[in-house]
Amino acid sequence: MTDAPLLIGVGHEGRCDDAAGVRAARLVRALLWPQARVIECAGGAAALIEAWQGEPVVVVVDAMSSGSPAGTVRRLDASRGPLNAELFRGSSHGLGLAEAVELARSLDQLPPSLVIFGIEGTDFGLGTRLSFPVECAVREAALLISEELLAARN
Amino acid sequence: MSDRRSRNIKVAMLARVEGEGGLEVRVRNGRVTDVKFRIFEPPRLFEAFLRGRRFTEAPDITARICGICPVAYQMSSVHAMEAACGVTVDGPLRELRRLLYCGEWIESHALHVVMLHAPDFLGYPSAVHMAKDHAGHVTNGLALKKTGNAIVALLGGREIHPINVRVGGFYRTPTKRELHALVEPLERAREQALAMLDWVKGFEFPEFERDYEFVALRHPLEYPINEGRIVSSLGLEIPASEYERHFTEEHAQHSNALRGAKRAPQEGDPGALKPYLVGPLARYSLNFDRLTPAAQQAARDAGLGPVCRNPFHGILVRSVETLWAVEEALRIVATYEPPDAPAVPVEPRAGTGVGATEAPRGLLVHRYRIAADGSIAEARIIPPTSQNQRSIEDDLWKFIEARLGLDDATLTWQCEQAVRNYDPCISCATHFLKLRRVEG
Repeated sequence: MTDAPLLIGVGHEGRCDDAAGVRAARLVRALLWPQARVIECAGGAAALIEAWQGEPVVVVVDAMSSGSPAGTVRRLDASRGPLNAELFRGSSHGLGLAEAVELARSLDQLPPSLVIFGIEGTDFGLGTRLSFPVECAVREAALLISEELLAARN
Repeated sequence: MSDRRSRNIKVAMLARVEGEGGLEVRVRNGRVTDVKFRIFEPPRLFEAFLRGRRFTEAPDITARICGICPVAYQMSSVHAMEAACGVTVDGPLRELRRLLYCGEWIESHALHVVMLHAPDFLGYPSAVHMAKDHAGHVTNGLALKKTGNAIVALLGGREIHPINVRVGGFYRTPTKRELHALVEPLERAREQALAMLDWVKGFEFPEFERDYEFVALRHPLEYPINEGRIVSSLGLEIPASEYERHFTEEHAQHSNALRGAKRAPQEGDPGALKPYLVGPLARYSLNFDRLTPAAQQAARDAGLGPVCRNPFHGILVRSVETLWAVEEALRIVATYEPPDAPAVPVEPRAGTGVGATEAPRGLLVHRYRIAADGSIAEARIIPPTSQNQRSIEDDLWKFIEARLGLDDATLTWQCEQAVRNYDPCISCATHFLKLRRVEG
């Protein structure tokens, strides 16, 4: 299955809605099994660049903190232009998804196709439960991502 | 521009550090009158979480304190528990622990040198901006970090918050073949570490030296990582179990982290405290003779002597230590013979154990009191950033006074750079049990 697009679920499961990306990725894995290549990542810039190195088509799903209503799902094409760092939460040392994308762009290590799905969170405190709007949005995002992956395969 | 002889410098949120902290400096009539390294990340109560848990759970729970140096927490905790239970782990298991720790040093140092600190020296606001002009060096640093990650993933089970470490050893140990797979990336990492050092030695460093009391582990034969006696540049030499007789922690209103201090009783002031320094500078200056010949030579080539008192040279020392860690990892991989069992049995007994190891940022001390049934009755964790808070503030105090002629923007930039000399880990520093606020 090495020709299948790669899905990276980003997030921290001990930080409530921050886990939205990881949960959505797991749902996609279940929906498309065995046709999906899915990995999970805590979200550090170096780890993300390493994860997508050499991959032609990559989809990333992560929690957003942009000020939109909780549960909003956004699709962003990072291969077309800069990613707004204000949309996403930073990882350790402030080097998160947005920084990974721009760093990879500078290093010529950005996948030719990189689509990012953001799920707007509301509660990033300690805990393992998603808020209700985010729980619902995870399912919506999983369906959208599944369509994206299947379209990319075809 | 404001009057340079009287002004306030405030960095509300420090960038490129782990966790949430800020900085405030007050200058009046050409004198620094106040410096506060503020840590406002909320306390995380790990020492309370540990109470009542099994002694075997400490490495997995404490690994969660930090995503950058979880191995350090695992190592200090297992050493402390084994000390409490009267068990010594040696042979291949000891070597594997050392190798795991080398992996963490490599990834942590490479991240700090290239992604967090180098932009300060080259005038970029971030590594993302710097990468446009220095892509080769950033790629080199990321490759080094990847090799460190590979070691941690192989021995720890995963890169972040490893799950394969246990009191007494590991849950699973690698085969010779699995370990041998690290040779090729480590050989490349040796060249990458040399290239990183070659790059950073060309940076411009502020002329600034401090008369620190260095504190680090020292081992009779090895550059210290997970074993040794605690020594200082003023002649202290004690086993880890005596740490709290000589060092303490205090609370300051402006910080959510306890601040380490060395007890320095004087006539008329038996409770006097003084700052001290842990971390790469201290480790290097107290253990230069324990580095490999190649690492010693690389340090000399970079202009370092056997003792380093300029905190801005920390980026050089971290690069030297990265080279050393790569060489040490190669040595361990080359001589590895799998152990008969992945762990030695450890039976609990009532007692207290202290473990002190060298996290990438410096000395990390754990003390546990466990009951006869193996439950944890008391836990105390003293991370390096807590111990260095006073030194950070003292650095700034002295650094700023000599540079009051600089404009606000330049001085603020250099103050932030001075804080990042320490690679402070604020998430680690706020692990503690009680938050005491003094009102009024």
